[in-house]
Amino acid sequence: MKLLTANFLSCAVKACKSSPLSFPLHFRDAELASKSVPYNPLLLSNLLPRLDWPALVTSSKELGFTLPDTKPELPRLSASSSSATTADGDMNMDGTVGEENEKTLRMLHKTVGNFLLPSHLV
Amino acid sequence: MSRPEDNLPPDLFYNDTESRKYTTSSRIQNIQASMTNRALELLGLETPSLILDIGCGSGLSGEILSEGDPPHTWIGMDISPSMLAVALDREVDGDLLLGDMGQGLPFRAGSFDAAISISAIQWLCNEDEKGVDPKTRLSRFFDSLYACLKRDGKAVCQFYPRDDKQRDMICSAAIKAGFGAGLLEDDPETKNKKLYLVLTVGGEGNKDITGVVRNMDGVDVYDNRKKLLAKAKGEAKQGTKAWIMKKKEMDRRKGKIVKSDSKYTGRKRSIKF
Ligand SMILES: C[S@@+](CC[C@H](N)C(=O)[O-])C[C@H]1O[C@@H](n2cnc3c(N)ncnc32)[C@H](O)[C@@H]1O
Repeated sequence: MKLLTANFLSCAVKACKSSPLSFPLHFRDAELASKSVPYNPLLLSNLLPRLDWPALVTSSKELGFTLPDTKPELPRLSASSSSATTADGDMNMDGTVGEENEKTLRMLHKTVGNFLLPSHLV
Repeated sequence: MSRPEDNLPPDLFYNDTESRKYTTSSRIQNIQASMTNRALELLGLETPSLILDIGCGSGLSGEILSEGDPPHTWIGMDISPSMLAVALDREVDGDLLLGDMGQGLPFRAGSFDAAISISAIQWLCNEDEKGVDPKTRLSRFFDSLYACLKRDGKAVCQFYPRDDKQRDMICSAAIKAGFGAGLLEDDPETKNKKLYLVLTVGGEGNKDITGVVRNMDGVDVYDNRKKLLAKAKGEAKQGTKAWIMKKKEMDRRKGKIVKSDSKYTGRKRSIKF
């Protein structure tokens, strides 16, 4: 799973949807692999307003690297291309993601997150 | 033509063998590519966007998104592990999730610029393995799709309904979720007929669904909305019993005290002096 994707995922378990803990999902025992992607300023300027930056910072800490605490402005982002590519995030992770109250842990298998729910949680 | 949808659940039908066969068929590759291009044309995205591909399978539709002009970023979701495994083997650019659209989409509100689904949502017209009915699954799907698109967002779903009944069931579930909806039919009345459900989320640019095809060649617009509206009105003409009952129901819901219904409600009264 890419870091970017995680920033848009929320827990789909019915009982959790309204809980503030349903976002962000947390990484555990995740193994990080990074792959560079072409820098795409247009995509970033489109996405940046929609990113939940505090959640992105949390995710990055769980994965063992740091991002600035405040959302960078785009001009600066383009200057510091390292945080830019991080946000564009071709991070592939194995491990688990789950939410805070740990009702469900989602296995990440070869980077694919499992979001199938047992029927009583739908 | 036999329909796999009528015989097996999707994750069993798209097993390892079928998934590989599906993905390597150049006939299928071409059809999926051309339908995805059509969907992209209907979306009319001018900037690189974040797109959700629902029922992404092995990525035949998704890779068209990556190769688009401009290239888009996509997240794909599918219920078949075998299809996703083929997608991984092919090293598609999109990020992949295993999930069932009939359970609702697991994204936070306003995440995507757009969504596509190519040849997948007709699968929702069947009960799932737990016996959950199609109506429930369709509304979970469309409600969650509506929520995870940003304002002004659009979705295009190409699908293969078994018959008009399935087509209408799918469309009305989408409308119920709040979408502006239109159906585009390519090559009508031929065996290559292709149906696209075009959905818009309210917002400035999306006021009128017919705007989606305004600049497209060779598209005739049949606007059904006035007829539907008139029909809805006609159903409860002012002064009729149905109309009174509806009014009373609305007031009741608002918490007003309303006279109970009886066989006299809305009856014709003879003129008395
Ligand atoms: C004909 S394939 C199309 C795949 C891809 N969109 C393409 O154009 O090649 C239909 C896909 O829908 C998926 N599907 C069916 N029901 C689904 C569900 N409930 N949730 C998610 N995916 C589903 C199937 O697993 C299959 O991969």
